[in-house]
Amino acid sequence: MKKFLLFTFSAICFLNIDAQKRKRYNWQEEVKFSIDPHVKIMAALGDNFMKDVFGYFYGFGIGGNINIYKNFGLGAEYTYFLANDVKKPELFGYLGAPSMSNFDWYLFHKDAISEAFAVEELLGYSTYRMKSPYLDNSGNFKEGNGGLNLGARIVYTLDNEGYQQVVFGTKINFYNSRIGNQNPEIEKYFSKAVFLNFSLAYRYNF
Amino acid sequence: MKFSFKILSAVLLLSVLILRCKEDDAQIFRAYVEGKISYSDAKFLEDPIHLVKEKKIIAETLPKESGSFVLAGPYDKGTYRLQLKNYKIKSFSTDTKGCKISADSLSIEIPGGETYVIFNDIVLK
Repeated sequence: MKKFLLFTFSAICFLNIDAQKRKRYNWQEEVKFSIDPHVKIMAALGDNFMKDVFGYFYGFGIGGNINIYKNFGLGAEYTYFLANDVKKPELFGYLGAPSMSNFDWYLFHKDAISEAFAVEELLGYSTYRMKSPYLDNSGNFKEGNGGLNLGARIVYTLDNEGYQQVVFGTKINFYNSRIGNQNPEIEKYFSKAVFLNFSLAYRYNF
Repeated sequence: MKFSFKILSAVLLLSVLILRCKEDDAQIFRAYVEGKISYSDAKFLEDPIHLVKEKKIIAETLPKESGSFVLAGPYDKGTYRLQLKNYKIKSFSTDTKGCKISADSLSIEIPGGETYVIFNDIVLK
C-alpha cells in the first residue's frame, strides 16, 4: 500500500515538473479530460467464496480520465456494486446480501483503430470495501482491501467533434482481503478472488 | 490558466481518492466449523444449527440428511459456541483442544482463537 501511495505521489510530481518544463512546446494541447458514467456487471472466477456464495454483482458509478502525454493517461473509477443473491449463506455467515464500494485507478494507453473506433489498455490498482448487514440488525460486517486490475476498452465516437463516446470495457480485478483462518486453504478461500467485469459507459470529452 | 486549473483539479481528485483507501486496522477472521451429527429423530433436521458468540449469531445452516454440516461466519476474538436448538449433545470428538459441552448440553464451547474446527462425531442424547 505504501509503495502504491509513493507511486501515485511521484506520478503527480512528475506531472507538475513535466508541465513546467515542457510548457513552451505546448504539449498541454494534447491533455484531454473525459468523464464517463457507467454500469457494470461482475462475477468471480476460480475457487473462492466470492464465486461460491454470490451469483454476480451489478453496479453503477462514474469514472474520469486524463490523457496526459501522447496516448498515455491516468484514470479513476468509482463503482457501487450490489450482490444479486446469497447462494450459500452457511459459508458467508449470518449476513445479508452485501454492497461493495470499489475504486479502480489505472494508467491507460490508447490506440486509434479507425476514425470512429479506438482501443484502450489499462493497468492499475483497485480498492474494495464490502459491507454486509448482520441479519439480526446489529450493524454491518466490513471486509475487503485491494489488488491489481488490468483491462481493455473499446471506444466508439458518436459525433464528428469527438465529444461523445460509448465505451465498452472488460477488466480483471484481483481481490485480496485479509480474512484470517488457522487453515491456510480456508484463509485463501475467504481472502482471495479474481473478478471479471464488463462495463458499458457513456463518455463525454472536454 | 485553464491548464493549471485542470492540473489542480486532477491533483485534488487524486488526493481525495488516496484518502478513501485506508488499510484495515484489526485482523478479522472467518470461523470455520465442520462436522457430522449422529441423530435418530428425523425432526432434528428441521432446526437450524448456529455459531454463536456472546448471544450474537455469526453463522446459520440446516444439517444435511447425512447429519453433516459446514458453518462459516465473521469472527474477531473470544470464545464462541456451536449451538443446537432443541437436542442435547452427549459426546463429540475433535482435534481442537479446549472444546467442551456447555452446562445445558445444547452447545459445544470453542476456545478463542480456534478458527478451524472439525467435529468428527457429535452424538445426541
